[in-house]
Amino acid sequence: MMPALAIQAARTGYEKSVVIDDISFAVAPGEFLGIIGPNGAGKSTVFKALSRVLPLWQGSVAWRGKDIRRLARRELARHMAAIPQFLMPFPYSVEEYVRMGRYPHRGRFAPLMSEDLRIVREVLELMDLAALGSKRINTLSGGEMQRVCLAQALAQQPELLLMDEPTAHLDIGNQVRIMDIVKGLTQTRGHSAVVILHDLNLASVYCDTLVLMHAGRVHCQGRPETVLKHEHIEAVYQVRVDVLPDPLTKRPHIFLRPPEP
Amino acid sequence: MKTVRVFGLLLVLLVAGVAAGITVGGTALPLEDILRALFHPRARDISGTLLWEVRLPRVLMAMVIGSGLAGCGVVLQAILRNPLAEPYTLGVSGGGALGAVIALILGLSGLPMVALCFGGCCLSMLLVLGLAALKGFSNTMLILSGVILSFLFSSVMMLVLALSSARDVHASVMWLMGNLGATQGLELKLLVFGVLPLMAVPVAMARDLNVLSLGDEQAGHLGMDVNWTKAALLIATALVTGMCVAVSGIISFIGLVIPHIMRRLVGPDHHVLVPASLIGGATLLVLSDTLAQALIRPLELPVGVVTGILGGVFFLGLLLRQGEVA
Repeated sequence: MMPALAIQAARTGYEKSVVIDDISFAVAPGEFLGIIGPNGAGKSTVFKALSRVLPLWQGSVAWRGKDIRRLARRELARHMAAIPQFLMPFPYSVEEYVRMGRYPHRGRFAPLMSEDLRIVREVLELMDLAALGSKRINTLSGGEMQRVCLAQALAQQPELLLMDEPTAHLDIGNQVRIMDIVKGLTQTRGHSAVVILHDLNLASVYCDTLVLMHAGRVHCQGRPETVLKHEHIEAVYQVRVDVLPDPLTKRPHIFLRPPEP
Repeated sequence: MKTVRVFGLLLVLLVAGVAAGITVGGTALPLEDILRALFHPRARDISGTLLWEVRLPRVLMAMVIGSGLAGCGVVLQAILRNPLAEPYTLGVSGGGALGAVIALILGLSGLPMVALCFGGCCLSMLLVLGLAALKGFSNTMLILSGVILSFLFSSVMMLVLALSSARDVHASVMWLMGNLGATQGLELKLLVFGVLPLMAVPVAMARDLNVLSLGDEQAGHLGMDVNWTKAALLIATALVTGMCVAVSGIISFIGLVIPHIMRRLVGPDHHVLVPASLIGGATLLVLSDTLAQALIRPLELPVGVVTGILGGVFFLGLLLRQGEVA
């Protein structure tokens, strides 16, 4: 089957210094792919390469086999929604913020149609935000804000979600809630998800595939049980760990083993 | 509906401002003379001439310039995501001021002066956009090139002033503080045919302004061609600012304060914020100009001083009452 999104032998960086090199992986429809790796490994740069923020120096990113540089930005935004780490803009209301997700679907000077408003309403319901529609986004909690960002992305009606650390700064309840929503979208609607994560155990529980990055390259990739092996983690993160299967699900679980005092 | 109430209040204030502008002015006209002149535009007695050839053009100019500057402020604050952004942030006024001072010292007035001033504005706009385009059109680069070019142009202007006579310096300083006295047909035409149509740009692009205010990266994710959109909006604002400066000098504070006040009153959604700011800017400038003419009759205050004091005091009050600015 043709992958939804594929990055092939990609190299890019900032100014003259290479940050990521020879990056290749692909995500299929309905697949939940996690990108993991230490700080500075190049995860956010991969995010920018995939979302066309940063031009590639070599290699390509393809949406359903077509180079994303050949797609109009507006068209790409109808297939793929990217949620970067959040920056607080003006204090829009939740509904105003989510409506902006309809941007790629309407011509510059065309007003929003009742269909757009219906989609916005549905997305707000789905994200359990219907009661907060008129609330200002600067008054929301971290968990609510993350759901609002996800709602804006879903209002784009994408087939793929690209997320940069959606669980950062959230408590475990909200982490699980966000991951459950994304997992649900991959299972019920066949959306693909490419998610940068720091929590390896969270990645193990939710992801179908993991890409472990190290120093700007892919260290290894595959199913969680092949990637989350203690030799890989110790090599990349420079920490002592043990990896044992979860007694219920058999998915790998990482235990930290700090040096004895 | 709070928004409807705010718009109602703004319109009432605007009508009151226009009424005050045509009745008070430099010398108070009796109401019956004004009404007679209004309904008999052909009869050109003294009050008729004053009304149709001095007062009304001046009020109209104040409205267009106030709207123009406030609209530019909204656009720049959205694009640059910076609460201190205003029409003069990108250095447009620096080149304009230099051009105007040179024109004053050369003894020019009318079309040559307007042309020199507007030319200066366009020159600084092109330099800022060009410099920023070299570095990927980032907001930081735009702001820095604007600020640096402002300094450069104002230093050259200081040099010119230092070498000129006290009379020229006084005329230049008065011009720099903003003045709406020049109600010749030329200036009015420039505003009506130049500025008014361009003000449709931010109204029509309200959704783009919303999306741009999320930052360049997020706007790109939502499918916007960010550089082209930004360039179009920046050129429109620079042209409007340039024309306003060429006609009236540097009227400060409206472009900074009106967007903030209106954002407090109607929220940040540009579909509402842009029209509110256009009306609010018109209102503030008409009222300020009336005060500027009336306060120390028969002399006239520079209107920029009045907008600064009025806008500043009002904004401080709002700030202290509601806390954090966004």
